[in-house]
Amino acid sequence: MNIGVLVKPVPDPEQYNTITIDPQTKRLNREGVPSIVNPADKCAIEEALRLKEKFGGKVVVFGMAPPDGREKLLECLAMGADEAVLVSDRAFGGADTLATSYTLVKALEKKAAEGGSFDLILAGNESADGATGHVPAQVGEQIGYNHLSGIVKIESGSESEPSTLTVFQKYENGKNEFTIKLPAVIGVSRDINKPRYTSAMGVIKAKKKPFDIYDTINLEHDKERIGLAGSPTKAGAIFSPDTRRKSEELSGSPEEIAEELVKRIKATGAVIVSGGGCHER
Amino acid sequence: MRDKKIFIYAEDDCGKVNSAYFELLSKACEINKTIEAQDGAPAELCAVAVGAAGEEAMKSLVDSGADVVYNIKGSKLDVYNPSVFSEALTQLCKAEVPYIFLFGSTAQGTEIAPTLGVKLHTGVAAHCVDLRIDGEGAFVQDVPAFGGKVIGEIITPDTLPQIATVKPGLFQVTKLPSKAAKIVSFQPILDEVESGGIVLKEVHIKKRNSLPVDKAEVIICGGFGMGCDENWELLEKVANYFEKSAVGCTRPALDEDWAVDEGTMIGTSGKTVRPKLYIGAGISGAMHHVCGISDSDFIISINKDENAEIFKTSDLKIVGDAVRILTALEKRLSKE
Ligand SMILES: Cc1cc2nc3c(=O)[nH]c(=O)nc-3n(C[C@H](O)[C@H](O)[C@H](O)COP(=O)(O)OP(=O)(O)OC[C@H]3O[C@@H](n4cnc5c(N)ncnc54)[C@H](O)[C@@H]3O)c2cc1C
Repeated sequence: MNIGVLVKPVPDPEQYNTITIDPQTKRLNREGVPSIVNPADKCAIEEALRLKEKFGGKVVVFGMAPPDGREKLLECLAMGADEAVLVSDRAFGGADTLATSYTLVKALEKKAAEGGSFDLILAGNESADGATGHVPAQVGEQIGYNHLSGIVKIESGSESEPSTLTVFQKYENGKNEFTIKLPAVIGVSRDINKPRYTSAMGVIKAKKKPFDIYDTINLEHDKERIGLAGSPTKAGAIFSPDTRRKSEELSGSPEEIAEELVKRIKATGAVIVSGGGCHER
Repeated sequence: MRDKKIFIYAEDDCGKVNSAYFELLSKACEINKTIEAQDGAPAELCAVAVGAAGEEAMKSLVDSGADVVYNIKGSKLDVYNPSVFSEALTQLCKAEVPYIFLFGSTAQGTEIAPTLGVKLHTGVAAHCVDLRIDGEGAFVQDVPAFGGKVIGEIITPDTLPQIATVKPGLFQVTKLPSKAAKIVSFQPILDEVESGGIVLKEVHIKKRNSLPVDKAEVIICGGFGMGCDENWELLEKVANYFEKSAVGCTRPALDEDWAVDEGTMIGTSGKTVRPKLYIGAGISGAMHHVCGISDSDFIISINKDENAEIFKTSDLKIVGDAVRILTALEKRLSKE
């Protein structure tokens, strides 16, 4: 089973509280926040590796990023992916999800023409930074494969290589169980698995694995459809929502605090049920 | 003459209309005031239902305050199939050319909206937290980034429809007078569409034994600082003292399996809530969580770290051990 995995380097989401907007330039200040492989994309790699271990084939990771994205793709190779493609060119920058997925589709097609077509394309359901969740659907639609997002479980059946997968999609009231015919694009949620750790051996091997760089010169494309020009949405001003509140402190012994708390709670209009037996909450 | 149409996706929710529709309609109505002031005529507010919309759902759409209800019907539309639904909606959009198309950021909405974006080659703004028409008549969509720490304005200046998904729970529902909407049946041509590529085999509905967090008036929310399973039960005990209450959680609490229902997670990848009272215990205050609670009427936080980020977003701050405070609170509530 040949599997392509779409990955994106993102600023470490554990540090988003430190991101600010420069009051003068109105630009984002994310200084000191390191990049990591988008958490959900790691789950996509993990899922791909498990399928490969079962059915054979190869796992190729694709990342559209500035040149320093190379390091993050090496991490994916260290985790166990077989090949990597960095899609990188200034002209690809400023792309919205439509232009990004167009560019990724071109890269997938080029790689498939050179090294065999993909049966499955996996991606993290959304990136931690932009978090639109559009890319799996928009890659699927543009490459012409079946596609589903928000998948929390993939079942691949018995020994032989499947032509259809059973997948579970998280939705508001529970889970939708679908079958999806391959080739397909699937966006996986972080609930799907716990990604494996990278071994020291993996890191050493990563450096010897095939690594391609696609740019506007070697990647066939329509220049009206990439970067800013290919993006129907345009980004305007940015701001930080103000979530600050009074933050009045209650102090004293736990009992004193509880006494005061009940008063404050009543003032909010919350209805207290005597005896605490409110099982029909 | 009315030439603008605002489409609102009316998603089926077990035979009823998904509540996101009513939230979006209320917002569309607000936007429409600006459109009317600028254009001299309001846009037409249109509900769009796909598949086997039942009688009850149709009735509530007709009376919802919309001008028109599009009822898209066809043999391949009885069961939810994202690729067939998207094709049907594409055909309707090509026929009617809506100005704006709004979806709830539900599993369906987040699948269909970007698919439509490709099929109609237009822009889609994701998980919007606000929508407005600016002074120049541009439809401005506020989208969150970096877990809600930053909000960016997005416009789709050159293509139609301008598609947006909106996080359910953010916009308040205003009850609108019924306009006894006109029902327009639309029959897409789906003969060529392959419906076997994706098949919905079964819907596993999760039974909940308490109110969903986004419907609760009181939320007792626990984070990683609750420490263990037994402590977690304390949250349930406290919640039992309140009417219309629910226990919420952060992602780490879910990862630890203290909270078992992922539907109770609050924040960027979970629910957005707006209760009268939110009590958070052992929660650090990551933006991913905070952006889901910031519309609560009153926020009380308990954290042992006096510099915890969550305190900045709280009305009341209690520095101390969550277990000790909640135990004392439970004891005190038992005397009520
Ligand atoms: C893409 C993405 C999406 C995410 N979406 C969400 C989301 O929707 N919702 C969400 O919640 N998270 C989400 N997260 C995770 C988020 O970034 C934070 O990691 C998470 O909210 C932190 O949860 P916490 O506050 O429970 O845990 P921690 O950050 O570990 O905080 C625990 C707190 O408990 C306090 N504490 C410890 N012991 C005690 C005690 N005995 N008494 C009182 N206080 C104590 C500590 O001082 C600390 O402040 C997301 C992350 C990513 C990357």
